[in-house]
Amino acid sequence: MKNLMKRGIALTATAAMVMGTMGVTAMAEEAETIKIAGLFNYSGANADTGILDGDGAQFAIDWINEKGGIQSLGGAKLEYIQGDTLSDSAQAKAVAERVLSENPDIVGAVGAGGSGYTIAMGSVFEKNQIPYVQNGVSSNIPEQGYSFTFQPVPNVFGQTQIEFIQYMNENYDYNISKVGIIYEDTDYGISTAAGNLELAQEAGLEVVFEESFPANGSDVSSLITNLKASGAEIVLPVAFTQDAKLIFNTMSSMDYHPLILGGGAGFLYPSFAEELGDAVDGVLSVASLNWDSTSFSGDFADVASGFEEKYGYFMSEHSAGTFNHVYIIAQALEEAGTTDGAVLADTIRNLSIPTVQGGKTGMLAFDENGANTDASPVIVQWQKDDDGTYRPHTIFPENLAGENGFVAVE
Amino acid sequence: MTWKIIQAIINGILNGGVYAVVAVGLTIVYGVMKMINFANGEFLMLGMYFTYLLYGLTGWNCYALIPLVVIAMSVFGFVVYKLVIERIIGRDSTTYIMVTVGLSYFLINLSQIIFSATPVSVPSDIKTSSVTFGSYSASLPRLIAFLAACLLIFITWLFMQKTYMGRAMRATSEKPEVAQILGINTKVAFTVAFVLSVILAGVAGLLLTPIYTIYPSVGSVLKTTGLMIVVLGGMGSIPGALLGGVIVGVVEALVGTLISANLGPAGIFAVFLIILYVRPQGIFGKKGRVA
Repeated sequence: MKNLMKRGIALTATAAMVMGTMGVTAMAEEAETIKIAGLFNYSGANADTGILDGDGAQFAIDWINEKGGIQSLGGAKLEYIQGDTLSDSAQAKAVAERVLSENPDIVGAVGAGGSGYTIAMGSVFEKNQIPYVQNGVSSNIPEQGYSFTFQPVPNVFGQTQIEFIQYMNENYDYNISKVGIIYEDTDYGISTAAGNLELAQEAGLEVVFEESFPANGSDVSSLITNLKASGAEIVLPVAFTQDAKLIFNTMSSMDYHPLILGGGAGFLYPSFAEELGDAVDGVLSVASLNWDSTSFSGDFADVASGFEEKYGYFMSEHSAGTFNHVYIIAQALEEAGTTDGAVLADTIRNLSIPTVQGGKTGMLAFDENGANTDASPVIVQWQKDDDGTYRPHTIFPENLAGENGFVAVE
Repeated sequence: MTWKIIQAIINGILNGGVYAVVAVGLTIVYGVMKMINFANGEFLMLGMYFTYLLYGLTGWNCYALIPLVVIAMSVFGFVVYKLVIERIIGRDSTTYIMVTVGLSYFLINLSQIIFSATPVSVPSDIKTSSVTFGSYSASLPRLIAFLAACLLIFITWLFMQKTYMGRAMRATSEKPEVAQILGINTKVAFTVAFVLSVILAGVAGLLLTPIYTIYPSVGSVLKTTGLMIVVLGGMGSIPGALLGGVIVGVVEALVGTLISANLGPAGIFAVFLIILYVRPQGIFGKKGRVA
């Protein structure tokens, strides 16, 4: 009987040790890597955006891992899981579902290179209770009522654009009164243009032309013909890469040279400057954030230069935004000390930390719908740097402007 | 209003030339081989990339690169014909569709692997240049593309009408079996037709490099329009491709300018339906005879 008891105790102890060891091993394995999904347009018409986004996410992961990973989870390293949304919002949801089903241990996601994709994918993250920190700027995103989708970027651009027009009028005697608004017929374009229209009218500016156009079309000459006829002195275009270039080149070829205050996206990519050459000098655009704004200081002082050194091009709006969104998930992991999705989402919602996003105070402040109430856009101007490369420099508002000031253009 | 209408017509005619040069390759392949080539847009894309690569090697103006692009596209077209198309000659149209759609995806993905998805462009001094007359302007790259399209289409038409090979291709298009009995090498006719269409797509791509940036899926921008023009002008008709292109361009520009830029494509489809209602075979289409 005694022997039997001894054997029982020994077996139990052995089993406990084995299970304990397994548990420790499992915890150690769990601590080794934490998967973050990046769902971007790696192929299709907007694939260039996906590359910018993906490089930003990968850079953030490397940057965080080099600093020791997630300390509260035993120095766990982040791992990037890539998903291709194919430049097709109709397929984005299925892509998100597939990535999550193939990688059930994904704890957070960043995306998606455009508002339409985010709106399509939001329900997938909601269902799987995975925090999704995304860079779509449409004001419709927080209105979806999702509790796992976050929008650290600003969703109102018009205010800053109109304030900048007034700034130019007051300080540089531009006397701009006629505004033209053209925008791609996507959620991003429509919501941005609607804000522009309302705020321009409120500011007493005359909106002489306002029209959408099919995204990624073959020609914009009809649009520019009407725009030219309207006599708009400043144009607020909202477009991705190909359309942005087409708009600019068509304006020039029709001998129409209004001031252009781009709506971000395609007006901010490195390839925009490559396409336009010296003609990009002085072009203005609004941006969610920019590599040389004051928010890229302190802990983030090495981010933009490190990115450019690694990838060979400056850290564009999309790369910087995605970097920030991975950083936010990492900070939530650090603070929560768990990979539980619901806890992480709550932690993100309550984060009050400085990020490269910058804003009114520079501290992250999500509301109940996941919108960052502190975020504010910046105005950038393409300027030639000493190395002969054109980069967009932050010139407005004052609290976020970099060292380069606004250079008045005709 | 008058200014807008005239400027829209100018824009439309110039765009029509661009559309026509894209469509003419498609119509030749259909006329001779009865094949709808869904990979034509990707041949155009490859023409753009060849221009980009050759510019990098030579530094020449893109228009000076036409002979080199023609050679490159000839070789490429011949290889594709031998490896892919020849094996499906004589099969039903579903096979053609499946194979060319597959080829289209393959070429897009291959280009993305080789060149990456980042858009590139061929530097050109005339990208933003225009020809002005009074208050009207015509984009110089589009004007050149239009004139080149007219020239290419004329040369192709002459080739089809006046040369032995052209006549052989037309005979093959009517009844391959009869043409074969008459001593025409239909295999050669098919090969020439396909390679010619690839060359035309490649040159169209070259002509578009001062207008568009180059990226793997750029061919899809003009794909639907090209197919529609072929049907509108009459499947297999070379003059039909030119006229169809101009009609589509002008309708799109007028609707886009006078109603809404967003409705430009809808205007094209409306005219497309009306013309097909009146002439189901297309403007220059004939029953039983094409090319």
